[in-house]
Amino acid sequence: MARPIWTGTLSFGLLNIPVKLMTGERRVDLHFRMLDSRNNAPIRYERVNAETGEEVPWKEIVKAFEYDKGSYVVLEESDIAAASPDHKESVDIDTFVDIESIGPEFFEKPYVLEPGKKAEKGYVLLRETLKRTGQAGVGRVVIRTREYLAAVVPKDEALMLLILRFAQELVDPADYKLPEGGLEKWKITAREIDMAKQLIESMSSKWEPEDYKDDFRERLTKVIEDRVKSKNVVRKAPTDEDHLPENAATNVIDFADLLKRSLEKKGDKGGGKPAPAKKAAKKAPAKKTTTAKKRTGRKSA
Amino acid sequence: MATAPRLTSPDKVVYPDAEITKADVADYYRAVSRWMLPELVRRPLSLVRCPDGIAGSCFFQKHHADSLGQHVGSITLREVSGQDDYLYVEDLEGVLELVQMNTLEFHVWGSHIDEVDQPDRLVFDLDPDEGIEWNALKAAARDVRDRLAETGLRSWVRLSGGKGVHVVAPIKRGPDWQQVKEFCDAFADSMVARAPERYIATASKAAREGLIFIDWLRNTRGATSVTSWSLRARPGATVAMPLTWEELGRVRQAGAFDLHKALRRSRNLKRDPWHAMHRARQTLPRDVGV
Repeated sequence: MARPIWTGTLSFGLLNIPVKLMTGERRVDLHFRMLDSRNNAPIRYERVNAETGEEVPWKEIVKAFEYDKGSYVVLEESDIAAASPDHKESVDIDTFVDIESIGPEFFEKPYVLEPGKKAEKGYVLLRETLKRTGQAGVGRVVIRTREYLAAVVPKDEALMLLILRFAQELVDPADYKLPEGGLEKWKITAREIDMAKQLIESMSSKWEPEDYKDDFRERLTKVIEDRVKSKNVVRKAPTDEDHLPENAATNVIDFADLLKRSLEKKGDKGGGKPAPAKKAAKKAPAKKTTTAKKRTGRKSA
Repeated sequence: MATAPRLTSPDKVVYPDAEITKADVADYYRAVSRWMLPELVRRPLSLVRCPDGIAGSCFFQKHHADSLGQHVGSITLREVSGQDDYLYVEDLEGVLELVQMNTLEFHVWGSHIDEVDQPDRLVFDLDPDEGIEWNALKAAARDVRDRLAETGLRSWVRLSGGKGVHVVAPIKRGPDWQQVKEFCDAFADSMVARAPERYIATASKAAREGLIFIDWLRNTRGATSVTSWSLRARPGATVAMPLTWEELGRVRQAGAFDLHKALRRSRNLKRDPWHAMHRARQTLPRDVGV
């Protein structure tokens, strides 16, 4: 069985019920990998330094907030920890509300609460009480470092934990252009209402979510299976141990040491020589003999 | 501009492929002067002049001539044997007089006319052999930057407008050309010693196959490097362009900026990408702290 996201407690007032937070969703999206069409090599993402283009190891990455274009304030781990919720692995119920009073637009993501060891009695007590009163517990839950607003609602044998959106995350429909006024303003007759009602009744049925499938995904799965059968596939290439990066072993030489040795060597040759060294002299005549365009090109290309 | 020098035959086509006229060239240098002049002024200067545009023959000029214009300065410098007059400019008027004399490229010394024998910067020109990938060249520029940083020198980057990339490190005046040359020679040698499969430090064409030539020879008395924002006398009217290291990451070739792109950049630029260079106070490492 799936592993719990955390094992903790559901608490309200002075009561605690040990629970396990289980995921309530199944991700069924098809995932695609990106390949380079020229040789079918997988595309890899890199975190690179925008300045040097070099890859940055995770341990060197810090979080920063861009408070003005190009100006950042770096946040320490402790800054983030300080703002993080202190209570962990619990559902803290603040209040109970009429379940009907939470609009559908607030519900975001379902989890399932499983009773902890020997906590079945308290679990059933809460579940059945909520069913009888038609209420939901509203409170806060911490999931992976973040605190969320959540509702605890009974559903058959389960207590579901439904993550709720914060009001500030929702767009007020009044921000959009919507037709105001009722039937009279829009001159809708009783006859029209009856017709609409009849139509809806004729199309009414029981809500059977299993009747609905993600058709696109199924068709796509079929396409993929056909492709695999027709051998139009990219097989995993054998890994070649010989192809280590060229610079794999060169970074061990200490540059400053090299430079010092080289400087000493040059110094030994005697510092009194006039400026243009042999190499420089060799280069100069080349400029004079080549054609104009070539010459200027070499000069400072 | 009250003293704008006269421009003769403004409609003469200088870059036939890009349909750029002499007047366009003058307008270009006028427009970018704010960014270009700080590096250019009061350094002995060599020119690439193309009297018949880049389709004709161009020549390299390092000596002063009175015909160049009244705003073009002259400075007498010793040469290997004897001495001669070199040229420099102090302002936009000087630049425009040189444009009137069909100058396209401006190449400067590594020192100022006030202290000609005390260089104030190092230039490493990374010149790739055919077939060297652009990303490898960028990596080499960063490598040079990082190794310079190990010796205590911060450096800045420039696209040459041709094939190469320049890494430029300012130094406090003091060491003479001999000392600077020795350091740069040793530095390039050390880069090669560390990665002989990538670099070479001798100009020999034959030995350069598949390698990046770390040209340190610009750090000798009398040698020059193309100055930032200078046009290049090559098809496409490319420009030598100073960048921030971050910008280098997004550029796709050393000739990425042509006259038009450079003009656009000049208009939108808030700040010289090398602005911090002018405040850098760093000395040529004598003893390389090991």
